[in-house]
Formats: sequence, structure tokens, C-alpha cells
Amino acid sequence: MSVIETRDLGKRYPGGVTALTGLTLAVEPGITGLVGANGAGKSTLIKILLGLLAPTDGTARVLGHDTRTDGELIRARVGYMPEHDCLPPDVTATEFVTHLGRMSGLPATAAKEQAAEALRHVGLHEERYRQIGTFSTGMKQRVKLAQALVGDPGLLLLDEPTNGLDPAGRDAMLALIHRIGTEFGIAVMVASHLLSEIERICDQLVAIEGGRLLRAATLSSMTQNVPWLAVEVEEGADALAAHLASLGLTVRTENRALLVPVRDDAVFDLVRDAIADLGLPLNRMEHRRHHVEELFSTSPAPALVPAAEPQP
Amino acid sequence: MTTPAMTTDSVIHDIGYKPYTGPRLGRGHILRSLYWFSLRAAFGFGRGARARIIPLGGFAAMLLPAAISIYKVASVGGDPVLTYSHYAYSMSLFLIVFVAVAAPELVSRDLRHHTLPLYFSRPLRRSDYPLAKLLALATAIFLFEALPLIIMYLGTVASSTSGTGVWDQTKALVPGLLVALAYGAAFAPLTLLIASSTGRRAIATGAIAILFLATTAISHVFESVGTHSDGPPPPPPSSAQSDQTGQLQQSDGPPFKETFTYDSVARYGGLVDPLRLVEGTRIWALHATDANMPDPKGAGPLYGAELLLLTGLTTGGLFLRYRKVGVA
Repeated sequence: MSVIETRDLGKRYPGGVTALTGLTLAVEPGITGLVGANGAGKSTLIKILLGLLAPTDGTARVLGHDTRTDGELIRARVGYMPEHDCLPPDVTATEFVTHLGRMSGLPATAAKEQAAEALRHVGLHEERYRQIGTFSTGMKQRVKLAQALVGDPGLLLLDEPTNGLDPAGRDAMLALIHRIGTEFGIAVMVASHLLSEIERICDQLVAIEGGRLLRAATLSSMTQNVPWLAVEVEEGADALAAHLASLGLTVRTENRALLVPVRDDAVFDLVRDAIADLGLPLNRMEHRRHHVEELFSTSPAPALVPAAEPQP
Repeated sequence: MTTPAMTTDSVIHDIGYKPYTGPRLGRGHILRSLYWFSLRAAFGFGRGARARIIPLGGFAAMLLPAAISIYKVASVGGDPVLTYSHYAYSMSLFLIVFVAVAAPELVSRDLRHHTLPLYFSRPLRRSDYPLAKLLALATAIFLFEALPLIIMYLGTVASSTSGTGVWDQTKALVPGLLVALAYGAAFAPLTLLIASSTGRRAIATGAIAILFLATTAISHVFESVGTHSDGPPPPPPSSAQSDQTGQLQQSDGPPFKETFTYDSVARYGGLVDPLRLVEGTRIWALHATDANMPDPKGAGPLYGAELLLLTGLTTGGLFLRYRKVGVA
């Protein structure tokens, strides 16, 4: 069953601004990336899905409920993490999340337990009695995630959850979202303007641009794809590429890196030996699961086609 | 992909994710929770100790006349130092301070910290948010005004020896409670509407305090312009401007009666002041003779009508405000 289904969804704001047009989507359980530049319509879509904004055209169903008529039912079962700051500084994390748990309909004691659970899951168990104002940006993002998670939602809508985080904080947040989507079994939709960032954790990607669907694709087939090895050398990249090609490997250049498909473990040795033989200064060797950037940089394709294998 | 992977062989500290299977309650529960949360917040509970200084300090000040009265009645006898129906008006400065802090506390904070999207992305209805805040502040004002009266009543009754004494006290208490109710009903929407227009708590507090203090000052100017003290003995109504005669009897004062005549400026002047609006309505509706202000006499119904109108308009304005508030 789809957790989110939209049909010809459109939203025009008074004054003629069109935020969404003809958006037809079916989002399956798992982790879905909602990708688009700022102003592409991501936040409008989320507001419609929460039943806070009525679409001007089409329909949207979330967890089987119509967003126009059953907004309250949807909001009782959907956790939402806004993009911007939304935390008061002078209350403790526990009190804040408990209060919002009750606002979701949990009885008082259950709200307390669920708030403690949610804060534990996001890694703030020790700090839960501290005032939110004393938290770092990363910890605040975790509180925002915890308030969305409280009460075991059927779907999480996360709007730019890695905003303002440093690379380490980003990785931790993404790992956390991945864990929620896989271990906890909660469907997650992550909105982000950085494809490269969320592609790692998503099962499905939806790209929108200018309020239109650019592409929707499942990545499940890709996870079985051959992984990539990115090699970056200080100099002599061309020589290395030629050398590797002569060894029978397919090599593609991306910016300063060479991408080599890892068909088996021998590839690692081949690449290492090649670099050693040529005596090149090695900057970086990175293992990549898959690479879908080009999927979305191509011209718009019909919706809901399974992602093609990335061409080496 | 979506099946929860039960990792039994990995980390022993991680007891894993347990889906919530308990009840999910509806609108009534959510509204009650927000009401209770806001009522506590009005008195500064739920945050640091500093937040309680002004509300509880003000409440302590409100209790002072009650405590003195209980002591006086118990040791010397006689009546409380402040009557039940004068209590709120005489101590109105503390009420002003209390609402000027409490109303921004209830609504400006959520605007300031952008917490509203978290509320409205939950099953809470759009209009239930102002409703809960309104009921909470009205209750808080009522408690702020009525609890000192009830304490004074209980203390006075405890040292009362006769049944008629208890009955007299009870009869005197009821108007006081009605006044407390009127303050709650009228001032909660008025101050919340002002506070909900800004996320800056200091500005909201200042605006509310200025509103009350300025209107009080204006109505006092009207009163002194329109009051003609003729002094004892009571003279005939001689002032050409005067259309009616009001009497201010200082019952607790020395044994002489000073008579004032009020012209229409004094009688209608209270209409600009929310505090006098309540006091004037009390005098008119309860046929009270212990006025703390120029008796509105014929203007009485006007006071009542304006009080109702003000309450209705500010309540409507508050709900309208939250229908239009932006989320997310």
C-alpha cells in the first residue's frame, strides 16, 4: 500500500504563484527522498500532505486518508519536522517533547514514556533534562526529530533535517533517519535540496522542479548494482585512467575523481597496484554504493519509471 | 526494508524500537491538555524558577489584604479591611502586572520561537489553540482574583461566632466572585489579542501595561474634571453642568459624609477604562452603592453593553488572528 498518493495535485497561491502542477505520485513505505531546489514546491507539498493547505487541483491521500477532509486523522498519525527553528529555549527537552506528545493525543503518562523513548532513540537520553537553549545545533535538530517521532507515527515528514549541521552531524542525522526507516519500520519522507546527501539512505527518490514532478524512481534495484570506487590522485589522472582501461576496467571521470566499478575484490588490488606502479600521489579512495546524480540531471522523463542502471 | 529488524545478536544496551499500542485520544483530551499546560504557564510553572517570580509575587501581594483582614477580624473583630467587591478594583495594579506578564507568556512565546507549526501539524484544531489559551488565561485571572477572596472569606468565617455573620459574609462574597469572573472573561481576550500580535514578549507586556495605565489615567482625568466637591454640609445641586447627583460614601472613613456631584464627563469617563468598565457594570448590574468611582447611574447600561461588546470583539479578533496565522 502506498503511504502517500497524489493525483494531478496542483496548488496556485492567490496572486498567481503556482507552487505545484499536475503532481502524480505514489510513495511506498521505506525512506523516500524528496529532492528539489529551494522553491521547487517541497514545503508546499508537505503542507498539503499534512492537510494544512488545500490543493487547488487534484487529490492527495496520506496513509489512506484524504488530505482535504481527514486532516485531523492524518496529523494524528504523521510526524512532522519543520525546516526552521521551532524550539523554545527555556524548557527541558523532556517537558517539551512530552507536551507535544499530549498534543498528538497521547494520555499524560504515555506521553511521558513516549517522550523518553523518542529522546533515547535520537540519542539525547542523557541530556533530556537539560534546557533546550543549552543544546548545540545538532542536538536541537535531534529534539525536532524526537518531537516528530513521539507517539510512533505511521509516517514521518522531515523538511531539510540536515540544515545547519556540520558534516559529522549530517552523517549522524542521516544514519539516524536510516535507522528509523529500516529498524523502526516507519515510513519516512525526507525533503532536501541536496541529492548527494540523501541518496545514500533512500529507497525511493522523488525529484520536483518548479512544482512539477521531474522524476520518481525506486532505488531498490540499484542497491544490488555494482558499487563504485572513487579514486582521486593529485596528478596524473589521465595516465591512471589509461592504465586502468588497459587492464580492462571501465573508467569514468567525475570532476577530479575517477570512478571505477567494483566487480569483485580484485579491483581494489588492481587500482592500488596501478597507482603504485605509476607512482602517483593518491589523495583519496572512496567506496560508493551507487551514484544517481545523473539520473536527475537528465531531461525530465515520465514519472514512476524504475531507475535505469547508471551507465559507467 | 520496512520490516523492523530485531537485532538480537548485536548491542545489549539497545532494547530496540517498540511501537506504541496504547490509546490515542481525541479533541477533548488535546484541548484539556493545552488548557492545563497554559494555565500552569500563566503562573510560571513548567519553566525555570525565574518565570514564577512575577506571577507568584503578584499573587502574594493580592493575598496581603486578605491576611490582614483575617488577622484583624480574629483579633479586633469588625469587618475585613477591604470589602469583597472592592478587592479587585483596589488591587487592580497587581492584576495589570499579572496579565501583562501572563498573556504574552501564553501566546507570544509560541510566535517568538515558531512553535505554532508544531501545534498545527498535530490533530489540534486551528481554533482550539486560541480557545485553550483564552480559557486558561480567563481561569488564571479568576483564580488570581477569587482565591484571595475565598481565603479571606474562610478566615473571616472561621472566627465568626454567629450564623448570621456567616450568612452576611457569604452574601458579600458573591459579588466579589462575580467581579473576578468578569475580569477573567473580559481581560483574557483583550490581553491575548494584544499579545498575539507580536512575538516579542517585552513589547507585548509593555503594550498591555500601557493600555491599562493610560486608560486609567484618562478616566481619572475625566473624573476630576467632572467632579465638583461641595463639601459638607450637603448643598443643593447647584452646578449648572451637573445633570445628576452621585454620592460617594466613605463607609470606612471618619464619621462625616462628603458629597460630590458628578457631571456627565465623570459619569461617562469610565467608559474609556477597562477596569472602570467592569467596576461601572458592577455598580449598575448589582445596584451597588459602594462605588469606587463616579456612579454611572443612567450610563450604567452603557457600561454593561460596552463590556460585552469589548469582550465579544476581542474574542472574535483572537480567533480570527489564529485562523490567519501562518504555519510551516
